[in-house]
Amino acid sequence: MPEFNPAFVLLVGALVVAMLPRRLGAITTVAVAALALLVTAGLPLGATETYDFYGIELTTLRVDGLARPFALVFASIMLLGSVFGWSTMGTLERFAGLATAGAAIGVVLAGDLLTLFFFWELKVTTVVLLVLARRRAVSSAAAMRYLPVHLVGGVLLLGGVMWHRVSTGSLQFEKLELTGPTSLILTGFLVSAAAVPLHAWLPDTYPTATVAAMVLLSAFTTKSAVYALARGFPGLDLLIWIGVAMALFGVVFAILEDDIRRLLGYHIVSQVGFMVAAIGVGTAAAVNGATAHATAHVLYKGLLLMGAGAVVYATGRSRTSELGGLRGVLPVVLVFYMVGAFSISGLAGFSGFPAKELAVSSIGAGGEPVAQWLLKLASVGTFLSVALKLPAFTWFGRARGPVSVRRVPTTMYVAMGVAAFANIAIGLRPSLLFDLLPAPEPFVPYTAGKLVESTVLLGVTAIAFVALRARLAPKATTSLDTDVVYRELPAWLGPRLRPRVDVAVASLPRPAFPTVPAPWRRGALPELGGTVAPGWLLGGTIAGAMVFVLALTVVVG
Amino acid sequence: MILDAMIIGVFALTASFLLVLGAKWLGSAVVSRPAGTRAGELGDPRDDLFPAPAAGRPVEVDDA
Repeated sequence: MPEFNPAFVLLVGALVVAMLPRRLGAITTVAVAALALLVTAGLPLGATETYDFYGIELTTLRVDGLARPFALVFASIMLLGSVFGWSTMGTLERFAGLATAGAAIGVVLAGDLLTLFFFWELKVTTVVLLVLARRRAVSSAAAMRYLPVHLVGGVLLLGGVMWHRVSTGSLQFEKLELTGPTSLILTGFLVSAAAVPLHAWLPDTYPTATVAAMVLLSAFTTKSAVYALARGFPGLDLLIWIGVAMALFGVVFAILEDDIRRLLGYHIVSQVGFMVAAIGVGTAAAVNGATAHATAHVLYKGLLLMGAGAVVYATGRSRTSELGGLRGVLPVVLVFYMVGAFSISGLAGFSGFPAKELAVSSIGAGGEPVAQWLLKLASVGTFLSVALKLPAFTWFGRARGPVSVRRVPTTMYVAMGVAAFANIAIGLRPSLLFDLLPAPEPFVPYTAGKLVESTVLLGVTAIAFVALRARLAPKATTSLDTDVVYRELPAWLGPRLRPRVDVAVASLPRPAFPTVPAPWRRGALPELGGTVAPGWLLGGTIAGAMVFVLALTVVVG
Repeated sequence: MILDAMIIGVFALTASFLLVLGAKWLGSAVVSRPAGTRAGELGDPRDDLFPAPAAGRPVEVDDA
């Protein structure tokens, strides 16, 4: 197999798929994803590819122990997601899915900060397209809220890269010391990692995408940010407590959540918290733990979202307050979902057990016992909401509203079956995962002590669930998150500030350039749900583009 | 090992009650709103990509 960047296989494949009819597009998407996985698996450790860009050496390919597992699991989930969405994905969705996977692999294989930034921003753009591909008002509005958040993150990242280049003369992406420039880079990474309180874009955006798109989305954005943090900021103490906050915040909001895909979205925030905390500890074992957990998480979260997506597809419902009683009609989906649920909960025999044990025990061994216990607290919440609450109120009992079920396509079952097999295989044979990790640190997950601890922790939580079941019964509610700042504050401030702004604008001389079209000038476009001012979006986009051009000029110059 | 198991059992029990009761308190005090009261909210069947099937297999409904 020739050594070339699998990101380009996916990006070229995306362009090809965009020009094909739907049926041929489905076949080609799976073929491109399979080819990208083969190319990724064939890349030897140490492979590099560099280009001269106006005197700057850009490294578009760097395969090492940290990048390889991320690239492999990204290619794998793209393949599984394209099989899962075989009969539901449209052309835009396939194009955006392949392009997002290509951009995410480009991020993890980038050897310098400028290449990283290029793929980073490409990923933001393709994620927006992937969400928009659902072609519904709710997803368009969420995509338009996602865009400015990540635009700000991207501008911070680029500002940091530019400043770092000017102050050090280097664009190499290796471990970075925390300075003024690198703090901007760190903030850009944290936005994408959905670090609390910058996380609200994730449960806001992902569940509005199609069922197949959410499987892909769950893998790429946060995990490429985890990679970037592991590469750039291992051992940064601040990350331990950011990670712990994410882990706890995610489970608390998941317990409150009624929508099954939003619930799983909060668990992405929570699980990424485990990875960020391990990166903060920064020992070789802890970075191994973060990498193992990220890799396993892509597989089990993908499986969970396939299970939840199959329910949404079959019933047209996504709230537990409207579901229930699906055990008899979607039993196989329940079995596959539970494999993912046991994996995320860290039950022995499933992929989450060795991965989470490695991450959490390395945090304790790294001298952070308080963080370790707080993460165990988050593990209890994970088991409660993902493995007990969600299935209890979706598959068991009786439906809480009129629900009828359509047949789930065979390809969805195939994708779920393969993902379930992978999770069980890693759980039973952790060396499949551990052999891919960056550092050759020995770790034995299956010891009597760890097995007893895991079994007692989850067993007692299950008993507590029986006592708490009535309190966890679904209620048709919506939880307010930190996105209230940019979702509702503009709507509240707008009418109050508008008269003053109008007076101020009227006092200005008339502009010499053409006026902005009326729909943009009047405020929110109707399809955005009146929640984001397009003027802000437009201004932000132009400002971001100007900063980009300026930065490129400075860097190149 | 038995002592460790007991400690982790008490921890799990306390953690379960703490998380559920704490989350419910937070929800009722600050965070939760009735569904359908927010612009661009998820779960409106009219906005669903896969609307509920008209002639699918019915699921037994809880009349209680």
